[in-house]
Amino acid sequence: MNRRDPALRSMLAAEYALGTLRGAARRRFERLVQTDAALRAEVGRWEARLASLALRLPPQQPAAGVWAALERRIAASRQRPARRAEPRPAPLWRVWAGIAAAAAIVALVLFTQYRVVPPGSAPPAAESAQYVALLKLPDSNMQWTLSLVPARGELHAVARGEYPQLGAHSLELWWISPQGPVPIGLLPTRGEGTLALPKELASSPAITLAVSLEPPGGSPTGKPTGPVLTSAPADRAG
Amino acid sequence: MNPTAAEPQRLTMLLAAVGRGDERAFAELYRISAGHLYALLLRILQRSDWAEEALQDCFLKIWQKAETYEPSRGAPLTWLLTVARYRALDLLRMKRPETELPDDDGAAALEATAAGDDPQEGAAAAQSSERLAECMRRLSTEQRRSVLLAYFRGYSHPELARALQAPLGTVKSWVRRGLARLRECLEESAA
Repeated sequence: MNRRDPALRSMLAAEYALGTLRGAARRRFERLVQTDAALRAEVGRWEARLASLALRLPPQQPAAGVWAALERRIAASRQRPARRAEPRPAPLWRVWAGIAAAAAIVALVLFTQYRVVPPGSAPPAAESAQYVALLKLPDSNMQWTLSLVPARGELHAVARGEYPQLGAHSLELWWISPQGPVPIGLLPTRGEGTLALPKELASSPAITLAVSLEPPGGSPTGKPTGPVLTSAPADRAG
Repeated sequence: MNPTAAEPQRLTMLLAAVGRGDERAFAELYRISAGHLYALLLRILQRSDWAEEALQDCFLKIWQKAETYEPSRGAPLTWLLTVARYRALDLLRMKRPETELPDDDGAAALEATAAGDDPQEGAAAAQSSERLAECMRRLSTEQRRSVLLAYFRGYSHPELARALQAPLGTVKSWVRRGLARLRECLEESAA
């Protein structure tokens, strides 16, 4: 975009505030706003203009249970070192630190994998085949780096970014097999986790993974019941 | 609800106290502003369970980030409503796949809201809200519907195209021209 054109700047700010600016364009705009105070102010003006629409709605009292649940969540958040006042999108150095940490973990997984194979008894290539996949949650900075060793039935997941947690639900990881989705397990939204892969996956020539939004604890039916949030192929890494 | 309770000065003071971790101020902030946020969340999400979930998320965020509110950047209720609306949009994107739209009860109901009776706030908010309603009335029907469906339903351009049964490019220009005319009108009436 021509970053100097005031009409275009105002229109992008308007569509951002309205919510019709989506996907990659929205993320690009969010990055731009971080370093452009005038643009940030224009977004603020649009937010205020549009909020006047909401001011016309008659207030409606939420159920009393909402306040009680809120108090519990605040009490729970106090267990953690909360009340940090950091800017919403992660600064660039943190993104890089995240990528570097993810890469280090992938490297570590590769390293440990080769170490446990006794010298002189190298297994056939398929035995040690390692795959990696990067799953990104649209409209957020949340992503997972997955490393898979199908022959061992192992998957290691590293979560990075700020997960937009909205109430109680789980994220379930699926292998999209030729016969349909096969559950792998619940994805952690922070930190790391290890999941078991289905045996059949080892003989699959190409691996596609997907994440769906499910009730807490995962899909009750063994098939995805909520929307698919993201999917990606796993690429051969070693 | 006491119609004067959401006065800007009171809310600004409460937000400052919440920013310092004052729990009683937080409880009062919730008491006088939750109704406004909940009404908006209910309108956008159309389901009371989602709206209640989003309301909790909003107030948790407000508790954690109240100190980031700057009075110079706008009225406190505007800030709170903006927090609520972005939260609702996030929730919609996660819960409503692009292919699955709720049956729409028509843009007419939304227009009734936008052009409707007196808002419930103090005098300053009423004034800005009245100005906006007047400017909304000056848009073409298509422009007005596009802006209102995007605001109150969280529709994307493709969702608008489907709801209004018009080509994507046409809908995009309705949104853009509608917003541009809205800005011109609001700037004129403020001058």
